[in-house]
Amino acid sequence: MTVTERTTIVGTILGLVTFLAFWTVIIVRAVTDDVPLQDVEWQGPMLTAILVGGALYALSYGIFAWQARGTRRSDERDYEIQRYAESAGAGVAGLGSLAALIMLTLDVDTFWVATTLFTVGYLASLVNSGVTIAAYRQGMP
Amino acid sequence: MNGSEHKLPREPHRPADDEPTVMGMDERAAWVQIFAFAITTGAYLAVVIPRVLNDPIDEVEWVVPLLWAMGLSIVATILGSIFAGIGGAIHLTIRGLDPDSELASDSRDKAIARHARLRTYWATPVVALGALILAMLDVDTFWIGSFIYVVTSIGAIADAVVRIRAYRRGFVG
Repeated sequence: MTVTERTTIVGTILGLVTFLAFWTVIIVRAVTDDVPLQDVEWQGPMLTAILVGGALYALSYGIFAWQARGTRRSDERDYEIQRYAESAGAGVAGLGSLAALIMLTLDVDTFWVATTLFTVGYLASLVNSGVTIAAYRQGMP
Repeated sequence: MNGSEHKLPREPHRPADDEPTVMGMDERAAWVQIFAFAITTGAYLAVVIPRVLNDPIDEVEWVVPLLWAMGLSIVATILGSIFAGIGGAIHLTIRGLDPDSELASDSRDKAIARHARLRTYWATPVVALGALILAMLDVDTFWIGSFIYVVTSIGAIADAVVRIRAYRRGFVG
């Protein structure tokens, strides 16, 4: 397994954990404080989820890169796969941005706009890693 | 010109060395995309920036200009491509060439579209992440909406620029 493939698998797990952790915190706060979902203080948990998830991902990449030090870490194939998968994920993220734009013009509460972007962004990263892993196992179309 | 009895689509003719090359439909559409997005986004900014400077930010009316800009950019892209296609077909007919086979998309057009997509998808995650950060900071919806629209439009222009660059200079960068 190359460094890219390893970090993709670890990143998928980290993404799932942070996404579920964020929603657990939000729902627990809404239930224990007995407030509607959009009145929960969501900015802090979301920022923490993004920063901690990103930091752990960077750390795992650093560890894998350090383990593979002295060897060639990625070749043209890794590069092509990464680019291909990222553009597939970007398609999903684009739908999320469009949805956010429509919600903003309809003057929906910012909580829902941010939640949509966060959730669709997470789904886009899932598509990204799914396509990456599939491309490593089965090749690119 | 050549015999037109056979049913199969005709091959595009092989241009002579000194003959101008034919701009296919996809390349025309890329040019249209640049102008459509640049003009509508520029018009949107020209309408809202004076309002931002003069009014308090939460009273700025930006939704109607945004919807107009989005709608017009789509309509302009479609109509512009149709007119560019008709113009090209007339010109090709005058030159005595078959417009259908000359303007049709081929595998190079497909490869160029993919080449450009793989080099300009960055605009989308930038939009999503930037909008998320702006929403977390709880800024006025004007900033979030305008950020999404303007950066998406820049991405579309960049995509068309990379495509035209690939058509004219080859697959570089």
